[in-house]
Amino acid sequence: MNILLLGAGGGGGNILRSLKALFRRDLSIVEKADPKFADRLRRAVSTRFLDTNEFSLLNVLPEERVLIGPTVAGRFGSRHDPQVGTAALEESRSEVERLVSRYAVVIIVATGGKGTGAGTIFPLAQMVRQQKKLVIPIFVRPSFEHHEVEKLRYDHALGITDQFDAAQIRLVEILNERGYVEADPQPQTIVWERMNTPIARSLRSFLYVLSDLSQVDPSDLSTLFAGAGRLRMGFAEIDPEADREPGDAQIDAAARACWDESYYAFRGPVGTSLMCIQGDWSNVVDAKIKSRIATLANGERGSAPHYNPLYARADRTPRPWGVSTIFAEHTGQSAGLQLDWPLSRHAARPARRPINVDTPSPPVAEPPAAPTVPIAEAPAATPSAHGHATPGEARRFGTLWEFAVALNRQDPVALALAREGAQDQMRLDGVEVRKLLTAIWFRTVFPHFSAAWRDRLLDVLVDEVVIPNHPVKSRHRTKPLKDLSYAEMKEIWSNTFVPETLRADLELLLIVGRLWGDEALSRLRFADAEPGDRASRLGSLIHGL
Amino acid sequence: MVSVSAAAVLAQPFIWGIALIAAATLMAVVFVAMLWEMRRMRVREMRRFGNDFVREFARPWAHYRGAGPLPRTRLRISPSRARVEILVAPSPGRLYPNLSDHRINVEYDVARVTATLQRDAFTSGQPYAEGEWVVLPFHFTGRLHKEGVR
Repeated sequence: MNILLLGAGGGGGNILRSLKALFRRDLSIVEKADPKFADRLRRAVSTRFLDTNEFSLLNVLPEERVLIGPTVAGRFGSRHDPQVGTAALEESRSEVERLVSRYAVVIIVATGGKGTGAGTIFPLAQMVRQQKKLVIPIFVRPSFEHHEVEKLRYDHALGITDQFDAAQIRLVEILNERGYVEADPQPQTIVWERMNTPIARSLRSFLYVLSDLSQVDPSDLSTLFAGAGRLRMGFAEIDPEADREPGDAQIDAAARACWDESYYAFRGPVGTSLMCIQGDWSNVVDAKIKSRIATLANGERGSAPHYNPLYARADRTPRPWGVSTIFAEHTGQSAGLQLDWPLSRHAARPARRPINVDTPSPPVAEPPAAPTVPIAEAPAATPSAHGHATPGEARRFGTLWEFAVALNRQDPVALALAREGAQDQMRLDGVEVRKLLTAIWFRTVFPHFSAAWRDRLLDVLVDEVVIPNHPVKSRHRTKPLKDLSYAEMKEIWSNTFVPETLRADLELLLIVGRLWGDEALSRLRFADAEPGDRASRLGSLIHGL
Repeated sequence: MVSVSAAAVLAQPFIWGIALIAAATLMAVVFVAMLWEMRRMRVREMRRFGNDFVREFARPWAHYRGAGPLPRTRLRISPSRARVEILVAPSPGRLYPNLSDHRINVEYDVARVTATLQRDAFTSGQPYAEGEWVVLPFHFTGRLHKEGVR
């Protein structure tokens, strides 16, 4: 999973520079404790500065510059005119589309009030959404009361948020006005750092979640970002004494800091949200953190409880520890976004992926089983140990996915079907089986299946899924993937860097080995990589950079 | 007999005098009533304009997240001078509207609101400060129409 941080215009570029500096500072701390993890985080993120003014791009790295509209804007900026910014983006549309197409998640940072950022943030977000990528726009509404812009520009910035609402694109909206506090005057740099730190820190946690989508179901992430409304990010550091659990006061303070919405345009109750906890402490502390934030989410608004948290646990991460959140406004029920997650693309076309295993890279990949916090699901129905599936009831589940979700909810009919109904006429799809196997919540579902069901699932996987036979470097030797034993796979997964191209397949094999045993691995079908795939190693390397 | 009596009565000069006075009184009453009605309509029209202006002026605060509390507003209507004055002031802790450092923004807002309302019958004058209030004067120059009549 790779993420593009895209600053649009001068203001967006300034914020992106600040975010980058904060992120780099975090990385330097992480690097001391775990260089491999730091490298993994670094590789996951790319930054680009998009602007109409060539001069303002001179102080960024050449490979990070994206100059748009050289004809429309003449390389001198958009003259504080958002329409020029929009026209410039239109002129360079194909280049920008090519850029964003290479990333799974695009975070756009821009400020309203002048030309390029105000004129491009919405069309950029639309462009990314049209490519079925996850887009998180971060839009800064300037202050006119404190003379950052004239009110005319401020009103234009308000109009931009209307466009996002009409297009049902959620965004993070930051209010610069909130940075001016008469009772607590601070230098601008400190205010900016206060605004940007939660974003940079949340980003670090978000990268963790995105880098391992088995932590949170991608469909839940699609729900989190669906619909109109606002998002806000929060981070609170929890720094317990050595070999001590965080105290209640620390947890309370962290929950409140995370809940803080000082700088965000956010109203109404909190709906689906994502919480990532990082720290080597007990599950009791985790539960207290979740409880405190749930109390704040459900209590302070005094309205119907719409808070639906998705939890992720980043184990063994170096300090700073704490809790990060992305809260979404509850704005009613919305259909999940149709996103083209790399996971599903790999599952659909496994034989067409480039193979890039021999690239020497130091970082280590996290094992899939390490973080084991299940996603939030609907309230469980009362399980019935005596439920029996009739043929009519069994037909309720059109797909294996529906069936698995029902099992996860302890649906009595699904439980009965899992125990006895392996001969059911439900059509099983190999790609779907593969996708389910890599979803972490499915691991709690799998024990419900009878031996006959398990055999049937494995048969479908064997018959319909062909795994590219990547050459894998292990202990100074290169072996085909199919020749690796389960123990070797585990060792590679735990102790070496696993490239993105191999990661999904190796993860699948590990899960198959764990669920069905070593001998099941020998039944899986492998296909040799196509020559064209081998030729794309350089491209894959560039993609990783 | 009756017609003779009527003719005789009509022949009396004071009867005509009374009729004249009655007619004049009636006309005066009608005239005053018309003036009163016109004044009432003018006040209603000016109040409607003032309320619409205030609503549109405050729309960004009312409509958007995090825009802060609405500015304080008052209306001052002077029908005899065909003048409506809209008084706006910052809510506690806020800075806008004021004329000392936001005159351009106030003028922009007046132009924005009048362009949105499209009420040509009201012409704006120069805003001026009155204590903490910014006074936005408007002069009513248009004709009055009854409801539903053009």
